[in-house]
Amino acid sequence: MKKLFNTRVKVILVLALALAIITALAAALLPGTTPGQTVVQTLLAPLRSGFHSMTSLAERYYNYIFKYESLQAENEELTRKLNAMEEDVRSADALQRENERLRQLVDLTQDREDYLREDAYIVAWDSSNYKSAFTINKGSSSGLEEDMVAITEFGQVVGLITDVGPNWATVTTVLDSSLQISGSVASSGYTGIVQGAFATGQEGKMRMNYLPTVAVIRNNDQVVTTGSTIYPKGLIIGYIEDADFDKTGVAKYAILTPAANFDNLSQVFIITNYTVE
Amino acid sequence: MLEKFRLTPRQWKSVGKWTLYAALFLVVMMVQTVCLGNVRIFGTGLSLLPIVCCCVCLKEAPGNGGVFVLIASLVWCLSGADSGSLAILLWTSLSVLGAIVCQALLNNRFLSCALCSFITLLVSETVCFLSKFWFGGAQADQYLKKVLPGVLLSMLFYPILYGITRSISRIGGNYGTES
Repeated sequence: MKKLFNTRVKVILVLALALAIITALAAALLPGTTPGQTVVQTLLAPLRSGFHSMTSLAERYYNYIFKYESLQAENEELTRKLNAMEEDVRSADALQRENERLRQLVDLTQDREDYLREDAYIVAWDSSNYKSAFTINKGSSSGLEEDMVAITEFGQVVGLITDVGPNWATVTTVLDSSLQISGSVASSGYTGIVQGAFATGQEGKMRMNYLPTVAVIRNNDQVVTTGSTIYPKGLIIGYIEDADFDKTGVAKYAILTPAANFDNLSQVFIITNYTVE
Repeated sequence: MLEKFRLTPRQWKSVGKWTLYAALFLVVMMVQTVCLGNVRIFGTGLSLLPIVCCCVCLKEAPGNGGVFVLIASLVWCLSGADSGSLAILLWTSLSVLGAIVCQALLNNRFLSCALCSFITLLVSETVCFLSKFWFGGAQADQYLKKVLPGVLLSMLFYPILYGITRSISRIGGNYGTES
């Protein structure tokens, strides 16, 4: 055994310890992405994109072969819904014209936020059980920066860019306990801090903390962003599922179901710039 | 002068072998993060890379295998993985120590390799969990719900990974005894 535990093995073990300490310190002390991470992730990005394309192609063929009938039924159902919605749109058009006329009459300005968005595809997920993050196929070369918000096509908050490289970026999702968002209950206006609930044992959910004790909270109430330098106002974070008093008894908390469907998420939109009209 | 850099057929085989090991590591990494990254089986994710590292280390002796595991775990850490620094320390030390113990007391065949892979996976996942638990990022009951099922599920892929590693290790002659 002593013979096997030779100098080379000892050097490897010492190097492992040294590299572990260096990488841990670099991650903790250096702001943003470390140079080593940038190099490795930039080299891995084309490989990830290639594997992502192959996986998507395989999924498409699988769905075509095994899910053809269910897709046909879904198509019929969607066609029926589309017809109903087209009718709704026609009546909405008339209402919108009326609304514009009335706005002009009372001279109201629109409080609407305009976003500049960059679309990106998810190429890899963090496989850890304790972290919810994914890598997208665009980075600083497409104008992406840290602390930009990722949303779905329906304006649902997905997460925040936490690391960025030339052709990749890491988005930490709203399900991760490290992310905190200021949110408000759309129907009542109560505000609180929303964060991932994994650390409290509710995986796949979010927790809205610091709600006032007098707050009347109803299930399925929509929670939206209150607006900040990072998050535009009015993005949908999730829906209230449950509420209770926290341990201290001086505030309430609510458990939220995320608005974005993370199981089928493949494309996100990054808000690169936003202005309030 | 270029004569010095000419490789013998045996050296070419060795280069090919280590290239294939690297390719195996990258493919498994892509499968784990791209294909199965968002898939949760019984609420837990797979962790296949420690198994690959352990198999390579056992098949290629602690010296050569240890260098491979060190580089592989460094790549894993720099790819932005959660608890990457712990992976460098744990995967390398556990694989190397496992290889030494197996070489001295057991062999590098299927069952010894399975035992070593299981211990490497279990210890590294447990230490990662404890580090999260210590800083309030996880709850105690999640060890039984996530860590243990994750380790057992990952071990289901062991025969495939062992088979591939064994095939690659045969290129250019085996290290150790296979009998």
